[in-house]
Amino acid sequence: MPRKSARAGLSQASTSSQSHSESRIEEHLASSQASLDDQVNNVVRYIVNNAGQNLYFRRADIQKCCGAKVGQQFQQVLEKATAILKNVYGYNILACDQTPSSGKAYIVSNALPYRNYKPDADDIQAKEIQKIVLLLILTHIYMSDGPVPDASVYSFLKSFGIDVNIRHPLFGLIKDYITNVLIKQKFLSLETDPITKKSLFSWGIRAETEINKHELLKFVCKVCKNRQPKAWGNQYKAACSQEFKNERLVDQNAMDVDEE
Amino acid sequence: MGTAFNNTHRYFTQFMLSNGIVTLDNAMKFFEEISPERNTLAFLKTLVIEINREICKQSFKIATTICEITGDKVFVWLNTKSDEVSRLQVGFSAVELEYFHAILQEIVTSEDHVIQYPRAINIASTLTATLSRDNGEKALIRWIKGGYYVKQDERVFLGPRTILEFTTFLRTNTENCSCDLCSELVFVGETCNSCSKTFHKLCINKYLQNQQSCPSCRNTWGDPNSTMDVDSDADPRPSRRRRHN
Repeated sequence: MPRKSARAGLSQASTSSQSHSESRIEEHLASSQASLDDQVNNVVRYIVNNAGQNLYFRRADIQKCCGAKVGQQFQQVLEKATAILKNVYGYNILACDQTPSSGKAYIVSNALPYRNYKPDADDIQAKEIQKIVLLLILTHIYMSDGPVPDASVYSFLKSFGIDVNIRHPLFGLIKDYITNVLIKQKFLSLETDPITKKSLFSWGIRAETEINKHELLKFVCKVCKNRQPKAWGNQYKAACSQEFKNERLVDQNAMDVDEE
Repeated sequence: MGTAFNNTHRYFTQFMLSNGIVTLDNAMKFFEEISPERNTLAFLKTLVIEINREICKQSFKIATTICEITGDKVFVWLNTKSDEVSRLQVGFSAVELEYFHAILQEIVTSEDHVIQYPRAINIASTLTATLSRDNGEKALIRWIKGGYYVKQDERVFLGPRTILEFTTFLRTNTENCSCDLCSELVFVGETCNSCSKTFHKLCINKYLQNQQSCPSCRNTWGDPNSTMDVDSDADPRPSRRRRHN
């Protein structure tokens, strides 16, 4: 009798230890799944809390906030977070390759089509008025078909009566605005030409994804009166191949800009 | 995921995120824009529920409440978790956050839960780090815009967003700030003349449609003469007539 029960006891013990280790594996999987979800949610929270600043996120900062180690895990976390940000919050996460510190960085861009919703007509903030300067610079670079020396940009603005060196009544300190806002927020990109040592302006990654070149071309046509977009071959080609991610609602009036 | 999200959900989420606090009226106006075919309040409420089901995974919530000061019904974007991730928030410096808490403390410990606007500005000079009154005021204006504080007639009150986001902190650090009718926090409302209990204006007004007495002490509401004096002959125990905050 004791033998039988001992054998029974043994086999019972082994089955229970087997199922015990199975359930431990399940538990481990479940907790690592849970911690993966936690990390994903932490990344989403971090980005949602900070997206309004229009700054860029360093890969290192994102890793810090979710506690993941580099490699496979982080890639997964980032992919899932990107999906949630797009699906729930309407944000696109875009990678930018060039940062001074050579770390990978990301910017947040709005994935939703633009809506011209202005409930209070006079609630136009200084920030929005300053965007006119951005528009002019981007147009100049675009129509010049390549990176443009800073001197050229400044004299272009001068032709509108905008002196970047003095405080403008409508636009404020423009040089400041260009360096501290437009370049920082990746609307513009400033590089030094290795040969001529000149500073060159070009479209930043945010401008490439948020500002429609077709619309810009139409604007130029309006200004030049009666020219058709296709008249500018290179520009038209550039507009068609733009990796534009922001579908615009048809709103012609939104592009009206007054020039002095 | 539960409901399939479409752009209506996303537009409203971004709208709440960027505004922080929105009156019901303005929310309806925006909702009519983005959802012209289904634009009643019922649809909006359903939309908010569907959004909350998703954003709660990231500890966010769109809550509804009534502003104690203006009486407006509002939607509020809430961060329901205060931790390292939300403290890594860019946008306010450490000294500005200290300023926020200093103002909060002062309002909560003051009688009637209100401080004068000039006093709020002066608090900027009392902090451990340096904050100019100018920069302090700029921060305060942002908080007022965001629903954290309310300014009325040169006085500063707690805003609906602060009351909701800091509920735990406020419950722990205050006494007698609970409305007996709804169990929520109350800082500015109607007070009983007899027992000094405070209720939300909306709560007590609804209650008084059918009753004339204080829900707490049962004396006639608003009658300054209905103190314990009437009973003091019969009841030799000392009466609690002291008004306390």
